[in-house]
Amino acid sequence: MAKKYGMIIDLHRCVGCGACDLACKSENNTPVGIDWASHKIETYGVFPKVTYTHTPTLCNHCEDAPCVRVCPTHAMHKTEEGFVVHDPSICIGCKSCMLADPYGVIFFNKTDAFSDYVSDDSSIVKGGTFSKKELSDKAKAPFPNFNAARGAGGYEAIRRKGTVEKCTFCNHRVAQGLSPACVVACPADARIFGDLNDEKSQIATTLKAHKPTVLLPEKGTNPKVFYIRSYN
Amino acid sequence: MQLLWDVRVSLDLFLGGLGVGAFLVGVILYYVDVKNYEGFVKKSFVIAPLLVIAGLLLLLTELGRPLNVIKTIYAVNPTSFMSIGIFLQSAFVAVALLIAFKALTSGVSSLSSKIIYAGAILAGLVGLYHGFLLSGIAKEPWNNAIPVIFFISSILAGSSLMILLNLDSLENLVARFKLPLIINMILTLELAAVFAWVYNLALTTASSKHAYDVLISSFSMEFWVLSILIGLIAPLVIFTLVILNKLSLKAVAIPTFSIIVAGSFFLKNLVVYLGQAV
Repeated sequence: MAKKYGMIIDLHRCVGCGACDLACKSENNTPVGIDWASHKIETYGVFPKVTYTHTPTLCNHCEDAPCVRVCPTHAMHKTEEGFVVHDPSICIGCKSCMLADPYGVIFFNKTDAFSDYVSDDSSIVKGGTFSKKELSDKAKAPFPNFNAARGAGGYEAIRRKGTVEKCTFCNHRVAQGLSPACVVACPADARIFGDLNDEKSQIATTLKAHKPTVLLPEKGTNPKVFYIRSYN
Repeated sequence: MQLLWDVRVSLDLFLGGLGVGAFLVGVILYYVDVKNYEGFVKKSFVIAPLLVIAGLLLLLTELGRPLNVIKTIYAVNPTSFMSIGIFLQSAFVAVALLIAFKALTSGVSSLSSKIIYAGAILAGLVGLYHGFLLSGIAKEPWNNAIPVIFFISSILAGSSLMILLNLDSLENLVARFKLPLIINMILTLELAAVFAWVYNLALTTASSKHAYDVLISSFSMEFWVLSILIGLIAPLVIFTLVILNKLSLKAVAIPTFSIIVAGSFFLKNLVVYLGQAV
């Protein structure tokens, strides 16, 4: 049986540290304002009886992905493993996928990301601190902490302006037998990633042991990111 | 409000709708009496593709990678209305440009009725596509009433524009077709479709009720005043007075047909924005 990847986020284990968000940014070279992995924070109640929840979010890699349905060029498409991924080479930048996406996890590149590391040679203390351009030149990379491995498999390591981008479940890492960066970075082991079709996998057994929920179930998109237990 | 589609998309839908409406009114007059309405028909056939092309050019400026549009020829997604619409609009523009060229060079009477018929079918499909482009995205305000609302709005605005450009034919059109009566019927249909849309928003799911709340709170001016009162009810009242011989159509034709055209833009722009505000 073909593999079908999914993710569980155990909200009871989650400490709300945001390491997943940062690991994702670092792994996938996403600029400020584009957050493939993010979180939503909600507070309930009236002081002193207040409740706080922290829900990590990312692309749900839906079975019935509305972004895939509306894309006019199949730039947004599903792979055999169930990843919903994007091919910038045929994207026309119409943003239909963003409009159809009920979760708000697809982002549009309005500008060329990190272009300031090519052009900005201003420094806070002249002759004393590095400019962005100097840092980039010294690191011999588009920006100092650039991850070249993100460019594996023909995907652009830094996406150019005019197209959308989103979480890929770190398919470049999965292809090498690794887990997504957010899973590895989680200090509380709150994320479980694996093959949903493998009954003996940790993700499949955990799903059976709990009552998982998904975000916006009423949208009928059949997300493959599941949440178990509660934050509090 | 995160605006992913700005006024350029509204203008594309508006200008495209004007073009489709202008073309279809030209087709009707062509089949009814081409000799009598040759000038009217010629103007319709010439202006229609220009309006659609103008809208498409505006849309191209909205895209992040406009040059990649060429790739939509081979990268087709049958579940995407935009993918289908690109082919429909290209086919309509090609046929309409051919018709316009022939109308200008050899005259309207030399046109083949088969190609006009093909153009009419494509115009109808493009007119419907404008609404399906939004309803295919499936946001609450962009429900299945939108293709009907947009199509009727396009017919109204396109025919109003062509009447404004052919005011010398006005008396003839009134005498032969009872023009105010026909326009009132279409205005009433549009009002019914708009109220069905609003009624549906107000009474179905929680998220559609939220869309209704946003419509009547944040967009009340654009909806009630510009789209409904000015764009639909005012012309309906004026034409009713004309039918009752209380007003002369000649005296009110220019402002009345103008507000119908403007109302079409206000309504389409409102729908495009509302879908992104919820």
